[in-house]
Amino acid sequence: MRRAIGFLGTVLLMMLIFGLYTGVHEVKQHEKILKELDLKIAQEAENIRVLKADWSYFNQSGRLQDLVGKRLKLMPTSPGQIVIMANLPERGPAEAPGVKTVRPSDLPFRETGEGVPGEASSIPSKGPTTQVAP
Amino acid sequence: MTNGDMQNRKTDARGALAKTRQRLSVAMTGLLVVFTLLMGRLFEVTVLREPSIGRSVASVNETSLYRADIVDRRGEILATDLRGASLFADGREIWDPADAARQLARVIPGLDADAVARRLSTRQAFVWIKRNISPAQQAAVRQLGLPALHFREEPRRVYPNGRTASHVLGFVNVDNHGLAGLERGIENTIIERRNKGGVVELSLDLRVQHALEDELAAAMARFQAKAAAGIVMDVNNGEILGLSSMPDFDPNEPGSGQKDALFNRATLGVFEMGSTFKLFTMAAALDAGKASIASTYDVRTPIAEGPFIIRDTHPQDRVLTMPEVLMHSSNIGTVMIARQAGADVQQAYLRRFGLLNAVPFELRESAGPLLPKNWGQIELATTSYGYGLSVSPLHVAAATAAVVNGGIHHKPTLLKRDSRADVTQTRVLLPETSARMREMMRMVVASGTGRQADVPGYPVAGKTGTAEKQVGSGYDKTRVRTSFVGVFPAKAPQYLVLVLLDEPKPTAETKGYATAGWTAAPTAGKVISRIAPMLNVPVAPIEAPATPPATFASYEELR
Repeated sequence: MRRAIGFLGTVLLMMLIFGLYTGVHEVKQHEKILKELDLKIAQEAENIRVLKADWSYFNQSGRLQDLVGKRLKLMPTSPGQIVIMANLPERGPAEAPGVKTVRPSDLPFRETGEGVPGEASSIPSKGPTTQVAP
Repeated sequence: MTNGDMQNRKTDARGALAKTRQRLSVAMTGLLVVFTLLMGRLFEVTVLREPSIGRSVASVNETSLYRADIVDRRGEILATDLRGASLFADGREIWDPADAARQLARVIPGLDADAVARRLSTRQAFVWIKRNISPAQQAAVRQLGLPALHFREEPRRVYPNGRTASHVLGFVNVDNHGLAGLERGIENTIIERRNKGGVVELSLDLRVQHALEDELAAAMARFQAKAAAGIVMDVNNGEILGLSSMPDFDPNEPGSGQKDALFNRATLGVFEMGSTFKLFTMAAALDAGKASIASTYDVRTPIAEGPFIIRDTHPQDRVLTMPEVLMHSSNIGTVMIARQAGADVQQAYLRRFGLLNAVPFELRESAGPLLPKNWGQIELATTSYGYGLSVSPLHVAAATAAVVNGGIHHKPTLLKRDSRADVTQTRVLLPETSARMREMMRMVVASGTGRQADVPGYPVAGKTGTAEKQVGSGYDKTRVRTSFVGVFPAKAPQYLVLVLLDEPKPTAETKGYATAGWTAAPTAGKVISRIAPMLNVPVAPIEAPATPPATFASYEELR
């Protein structure tokens, strides 16, 4: 009886020791992985910072302005391009029967969007679109 | 063997057995104690103790500061900390200081080989070679394979937008300590934010800042001006969207430009502002009930005041109403208005507008005004049209905002305001006075000296100012400082634009004039036409073209 208890105790102790050992080992492994991950995260975070700074550097307003001036046919939005309903001219008289209204889309050529030069409220000729402000 | 012997042996054996048993139990107890201790320790180590996770904490440098990013109101990065490497050597490990220094000077341009050799030959354990070297240089140094060279990781402050907003941001020294601008002015906030993992949000709008700088630089080139300054401000809460002083500098290399470039003209420079001060004289007289817009002033004869004779730049030779005095920027008329109000009223209101004290501001580069020594009749007269009292452009911007926004003075700020709750505000004018001032300022732009500042779609209200520069004891008529302070939209102003040009020269385009109406006003107009669409300011219905009102009656019609 005593022998059995002693034997069982020994087995239990060995199992406990083995369990603890593997536990500690696993924890160490995990810690190692965690350390590597932390380092990677820190590196990535630093990379992101660098990329953000790069993004900001390459998007300097002055640089973009120069590039647009050289490469694109865009111009700064002029206040005249933004029109509110109240500033649009009155609509002409209602369509009389028998009179055909010519719409821009009916014309054989595309609208060039030529505005009246010198008139402040007219749509500028180079404006890509006319925005209607709310 | 005798029986007695047997007996003896038996007792001996029994004694030995007992002894052994005793020893065994002692050994067992000892082992038990030891193992219990071991188990306990094991339990403590594996279960109880806090896991000491080896987070890679970079060796914290005692000298270098880690700072939070600075971003504009839309989150664009204006300043950030990047990881930089600094090169140092262990002098004890260097074999040949002169050779090592020569090799280093080859890969790091600008390194003084002799100085490095001298420092290395002291055989000290720690010798800085170069702080903040680039990654390419770091690789080149590694390639040298010298044993005694080491790198220390340090934060390096980078301003990706270069010169943009340089006077607002300021710059730092090699240890990342702020030396100028916000980097110095709100250094504690920047470091605290960094420790909490946040960023510092400014009220600046990078797009507005660029438009302002671009137009100021263009104006400086066009009029060959010596310097320029500009401010864009939200009149309803004091937030500054753009602040620029030209010439400016690159905060990444603050020492590289002209020394003059570090001087912030928008906040630290104090100037006699000239006619823009007429706004404050009139607002004071109106608000105190000492004059009304119907008051008339005979400006036909110049006023003699002490040693000065006060004349008009644009003589009208007739009787003017108060709005006309402002429109034509009559000095004589303004002095009359100031006399109506009196010195006490004038001073009380200038104080209310914050013009007699330093502006409480985030930048330490913020100057107090230069006040006249005693405030007699002469000072009453000269101050009324902006001479004899020097203030910074920031003073004028904050005061003008109060004049047009319904009469509330806000502390100007460079930090983004979260809500209306944390706005420091003081009522300085009656709402009606503010409304009258807006109307008069609109007339200055619609048909007075500020016509060139007007922008179709965004009616501007404002005032020009042309101040002769003091040379010795007198004033030089040929050297002027021109300014324009304008707000838009005129009816319910949202934003203020202030432009100041130092010694603009006349051009063919300006028909030989270098006054504010020909230099500062069109510059402000260009700034407004660029920033108004960006800031989503609604377009105003087209006004009927305004004609210059000849009399007060026609002014009434215009309203």
